[in-house]
Amino acid sequence: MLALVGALGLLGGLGTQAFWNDTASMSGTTVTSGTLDLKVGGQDSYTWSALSISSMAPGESTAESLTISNAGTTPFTVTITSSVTALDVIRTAVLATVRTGSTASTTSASYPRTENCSGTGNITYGPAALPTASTTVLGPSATIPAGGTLTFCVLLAFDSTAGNTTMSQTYAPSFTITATQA
Amino acid sequence: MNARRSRVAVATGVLVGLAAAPAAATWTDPVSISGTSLGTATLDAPVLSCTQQGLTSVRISWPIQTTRVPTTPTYVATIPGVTVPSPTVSGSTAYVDVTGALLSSLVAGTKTVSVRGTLPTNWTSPTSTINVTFVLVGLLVSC
Repeated sequence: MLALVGALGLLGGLGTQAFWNDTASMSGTTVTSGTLDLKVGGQDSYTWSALSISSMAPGESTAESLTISNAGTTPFTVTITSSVTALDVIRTAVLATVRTGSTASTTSASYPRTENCSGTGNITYGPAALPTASTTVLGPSATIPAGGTLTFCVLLAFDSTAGNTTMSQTYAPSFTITATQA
Repeated sequence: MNARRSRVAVATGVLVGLAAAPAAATWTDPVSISGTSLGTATLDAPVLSCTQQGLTSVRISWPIQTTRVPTTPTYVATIPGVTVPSPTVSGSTAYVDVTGALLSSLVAGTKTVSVRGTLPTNWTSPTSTINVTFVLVGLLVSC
């Protein structure tokens, strides 16, 4: 009992230590991430029916151009890959050419329907048959800044020497355009 | 597609301890384009009909193909041993008249008339055939 009283007395003899502090709040700072937004023909997905043609005969061709745009805030480059679904007999008889900075000629309605990609842009693929497996036909392109565009043109030409075995065939090319942050 | 929803982080290294730098990443935004289809023409075999025209002539006719081809085919009719004139086009039909005079140089009997279409390329249709018979040195011709 005597010891407890002594211990309490000892504790009561200690002084209290304290530090001053002060706080101030800051606000109004926002970190916003950018966007990478590729538009093809002004859309997020694209059905390219304008490049289609029916009842095609040897020596005829179809061509169409598309505009890629950077609708985001981040500069990007684009790569275009393509593949085709078709029997070899027709796949090898259709020669594809891809050209940047090029626009397609006016749609031709009368036989022989021959369209072309005009302009001075670089040919990035072909003329060559598209493979069944995906292959790069354009790119990586030069950097497209926010708000910038890139136009490319695809020409599909049916070999004028194609024989009877290429009758009644279908040829379905597909394309994937990938924008990659620059 | 907005890449913020689909961005793909491309790690350029592996984590090395707790102090490793943040993985480098790039955003990508792929857009698929489909809906393009090329269909090649089909040149059909002519469907032949035979019409008797008096005793000494028959008319072999067929409809001119107008669908699944980019332009009207031209047609060729042949009979072995005979020079057959070019078919006549009348509206949506083409025909050749096989007359006794045309066959007069042949031995009497049954002859085969062959007709095929062509496009101004290397393409030709399957050949259609029809038999005609003539007797009395071309005086009587029938289907």
